Amino acid sequence: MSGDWNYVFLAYSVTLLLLASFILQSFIAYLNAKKRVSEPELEAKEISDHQPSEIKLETIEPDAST
Amino acid sequence: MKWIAYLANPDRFSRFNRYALPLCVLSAIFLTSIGLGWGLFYAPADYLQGDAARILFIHVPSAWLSLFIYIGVTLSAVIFWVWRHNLADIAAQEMALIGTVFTLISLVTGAIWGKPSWGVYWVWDIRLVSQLLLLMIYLGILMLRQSQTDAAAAARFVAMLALAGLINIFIVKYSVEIWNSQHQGPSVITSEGSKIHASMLWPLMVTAFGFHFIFFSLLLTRMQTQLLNRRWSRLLTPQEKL
Repeated sequence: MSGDWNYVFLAYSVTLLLLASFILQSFIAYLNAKKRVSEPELEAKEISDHQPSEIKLETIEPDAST
Repeated sequence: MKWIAYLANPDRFSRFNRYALPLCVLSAIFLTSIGLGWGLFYAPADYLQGDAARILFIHVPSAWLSLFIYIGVTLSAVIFWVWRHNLADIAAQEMALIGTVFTLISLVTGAIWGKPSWGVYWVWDIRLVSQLLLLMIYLGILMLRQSQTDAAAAARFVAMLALAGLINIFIVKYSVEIWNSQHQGPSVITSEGSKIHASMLWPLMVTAFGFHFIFFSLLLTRMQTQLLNRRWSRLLTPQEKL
């Protein structure tokens, strides 16, 4: 095995380290974001935010003085 | 332009992502492992550079990607500037970060290859310097985007910087043809066909496709993360945010 292989291993190791850590960070961030949004309280809140507001109909009594 | 408008809707993008992401991840794993395994163990050593030439199976695809991603950043920034598609803003931010990583990989692996081939890790050659400048531009875009709270203003600055930086992309690409450079000239795609023997060209191309799928997988994952984070922050009341 020639001395060139040391450089080859170094280059492949550095690349693997850089890429693997970046991929892992992206994946963990994705899982955290997904978990946070799918928490039951937030989901319930999102549903309630989209509900149409209730319209209360009240009977207006005619004013006796008029 | 139709597909850009179609995917600009976050819900549609999430639905598209459900199918596209697994496909990209599988293609990335399959192509990269085949290409790198082929390049490391089956491709012959170069008659001049010896085994050090195997570094080029990661250096060249990373360098290609750094240029390809930069064009993506510029397009996304301009799309957000003109049409105000929020997803284009997210894409520009995430592509800038991924582009930084691939530019760094191309510079580091290039330096490691330089030692056995040229005798030094670094020379002040136009190709190397313009690639270093590309890394600086990527970092500049990231910092500029982070420094502004107003997304519209940030997008305008980022689009302007990205458009100005396009000149550097042409310098990186054509530097070895225009100037007298120590870096080798184009050899994969030339007007007379490829100058590389098929036994080395095939693993290089397979790895290059694999790296592109790694990029798409990362981009889709990170864009989806940003969308989820924005949705979460929209749902919180100001008191909860504190």
